[in-house]
Amino acid sequence: MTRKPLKMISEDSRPVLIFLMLLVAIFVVFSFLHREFLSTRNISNLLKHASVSSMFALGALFVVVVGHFDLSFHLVCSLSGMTTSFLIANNVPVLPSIAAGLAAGAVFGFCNGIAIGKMRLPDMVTTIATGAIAWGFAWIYSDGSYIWKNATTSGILLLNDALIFGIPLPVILMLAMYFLANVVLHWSRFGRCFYSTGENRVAAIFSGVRVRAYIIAAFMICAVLASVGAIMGNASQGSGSVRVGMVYLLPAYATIFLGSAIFKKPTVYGTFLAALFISTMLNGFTLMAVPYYYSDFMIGLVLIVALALSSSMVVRTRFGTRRAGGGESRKEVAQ
Amino acid sequence: MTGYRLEMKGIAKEFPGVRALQGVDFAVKPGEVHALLGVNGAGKSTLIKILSGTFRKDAGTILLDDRPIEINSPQDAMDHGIATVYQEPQVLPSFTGYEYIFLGTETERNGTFSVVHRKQLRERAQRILELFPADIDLTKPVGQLGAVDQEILAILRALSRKMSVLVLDEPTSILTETEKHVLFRLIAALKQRGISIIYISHRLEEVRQVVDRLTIIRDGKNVATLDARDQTTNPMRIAELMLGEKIESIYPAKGDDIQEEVLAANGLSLGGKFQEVTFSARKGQILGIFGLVGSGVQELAKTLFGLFKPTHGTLKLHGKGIELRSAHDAIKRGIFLVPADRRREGLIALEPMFFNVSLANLGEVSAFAGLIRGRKEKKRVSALIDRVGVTPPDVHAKVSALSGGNQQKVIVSKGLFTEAEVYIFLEPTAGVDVGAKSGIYRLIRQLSRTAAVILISSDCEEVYGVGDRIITLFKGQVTGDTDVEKVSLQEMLLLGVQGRI
Repeated sequence: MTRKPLKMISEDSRPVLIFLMLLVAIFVVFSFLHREFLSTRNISNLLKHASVSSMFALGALFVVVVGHFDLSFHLVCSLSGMTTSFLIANNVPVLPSIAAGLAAGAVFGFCNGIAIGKMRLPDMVTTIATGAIAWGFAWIYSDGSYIWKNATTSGILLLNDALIFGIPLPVILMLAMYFLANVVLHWSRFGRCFYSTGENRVAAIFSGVRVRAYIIAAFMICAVLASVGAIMGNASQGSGSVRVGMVYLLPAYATIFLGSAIFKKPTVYGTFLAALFISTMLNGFTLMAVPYYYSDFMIGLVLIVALALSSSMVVRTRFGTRRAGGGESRKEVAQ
Repeated sequence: MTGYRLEMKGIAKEFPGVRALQGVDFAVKPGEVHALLGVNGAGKSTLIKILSGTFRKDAGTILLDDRPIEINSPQDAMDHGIATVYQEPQVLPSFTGYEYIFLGTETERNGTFSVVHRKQLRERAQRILELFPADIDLTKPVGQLGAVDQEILAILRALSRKMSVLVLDEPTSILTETEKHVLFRLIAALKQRGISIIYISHRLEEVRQVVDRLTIIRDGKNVATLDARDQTTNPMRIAELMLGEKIESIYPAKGDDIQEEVLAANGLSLGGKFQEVTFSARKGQILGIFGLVGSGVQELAKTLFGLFKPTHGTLKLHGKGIELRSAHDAIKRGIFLVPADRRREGLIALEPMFFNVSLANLGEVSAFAGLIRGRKEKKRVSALIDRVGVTPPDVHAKVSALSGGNQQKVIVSKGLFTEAEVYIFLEPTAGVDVGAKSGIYRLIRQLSRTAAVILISSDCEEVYGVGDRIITLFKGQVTGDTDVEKVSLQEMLLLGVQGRI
């Protein structure tokens, strides 16, 4: 894991090859189906979409690595996005507005982490509840209607439109975040602690890993990255919407588990490649004007196939042992 | 007619690397309470698991009322009227007593849609209960009852079906003194009804209170069957028979160079688990702590590692008082626990050896911003696993593929990586095959030259064979604290299993 990724790829190149083949296949299919597909404008759109949606997957990846699930980030981020849009509409400068939005996300992530890591409440049910709470708060600013005041004049749209050396800013943000996450999870001591917390919580405690802190950190990273995604999403739409994150829950998990299925373990690079694949698929469907429920259908299918493929390693050991050992560990390690 | 209710003849069972039973004979008469005794690993529980259908025997015959029977599953055992009640019976906390007794046998015709007649069940349960000197509120949820009541319900549950042989596995380990007598009265009542009871216990003094005869096994073989009322059947003799003649030569030489004190405990107590434990762990001397399951030794180990907060008493490291708030804290201060359950507590099974060894002290091989210096890490891990002798010496090997002994060595390497000054070994050879045991003992001795080592185990021979200074714990109380030369193994066993010699 700490081996440099390039070396890792050459040692075990099969997963990467599988992804490249999948990507090429899907490009070929769509370029035949629609002649616009390979146009510069569409590729740019595709990458921008991938940037937003992969942000959600990257955050949720941390939670999956520590052996949990977060079903709240797609709603928590709506509160963050609305907070930012509301402040901008009230003439607060862009950067403080974004910071306030991210802080709102961080608070909810922290609460999730405390509830699940420290109080050991069940992750899925807890995050369904916290998501609903955040979602409720998000509506307060505007009773749920779009906030577009000052959007064009404040400079927030640059988050979507700016080009740096000809590369769209969202793409640069995505690459930067993925690089950072790769460093943390695969090259640093913190990554070892995230993974050991998820793979064997009790053994991690016996090794002096502060598992609660890592679980809290994972939920905070998840909520903050989802908030980044929401603010980027709002910038691309030109207005703040309470529904900005709704569509990203399913693709995020489909992305993570597709990556895990192929790399045998949830990883940053696997998530990145899977995110490109799923965004390409969605982009193709949009281009061909396929109704959105068909894309939900397809992504659901991808998720279930990925789960089935990875069931031997990732799902069973990671989530199986946690469930089995979790209850006892509380008894054992109760203080 | 042999006059036996149940006879087990020439029972053999082999596990990979261990010959657990090598032709054991065991027979129980009707209405007899027969104790099965032996130290840890003697084969008691294997024999019982064969009788209850959990394991299949490799060889031998089982006769019930002189007729040979085959037991291939727990269901078979139940159908033959052989019931087993374990240490902590599995109860369904929200069920009432009578619902629990008749679970699965609520009605005569057990159709999917058969109606459960609660009133009728309650009366039937009450009738069974009235036969025995026990007073339990059967309408209360089982989870609200005390330990002894739960155990009695588990026995009544067995009684509500056909039962001619009852196996009680360490039935008193979680009971108080008064609760015990309730159970003993029930046993006496069951006896009068002609039910044969196989009584498994470590506790010699109570064995003599309730038992008619006792069979001692050692190393998977019969040693003796004695009459409990015989004058010569005293605890010392039983202890001698359980332990055998000599200690095998798998233990390393004793320590002879006692150096400075590293960790000291003074009056350490944890709620009802253990009280007033005082010791001084020194370099060059292995401190052995012996106690059975339930004696508090497990909790003591975890308290020393910061997983439990002591209710009283102090810990001193190098003469300075310390308070441990977590395992993280303990490791930072140089205290390392090698846990009993390697798979669950010791290893991250999916990860390679280097990941596991360096996990407890990643700061040591990290550079700026926590980035791991991979080459330095692998070099150090490689040196450590060479030192403790892990095979294969490959830092990239997955730990799940290693043998028990090698996994134990990986965990010791993890401690070495933290440069710990105190090593606590909890049941270090549980599940390790005999050949690998002496290697682990040598490693423990080697560690003790440069660090304080505390060996905590429910295996008395191991504590006696490896320890230099011995403490025995019985029901949370310290019953012995002496140099190993000043006590015999038999005396030590008695201190641990009955609290006195």
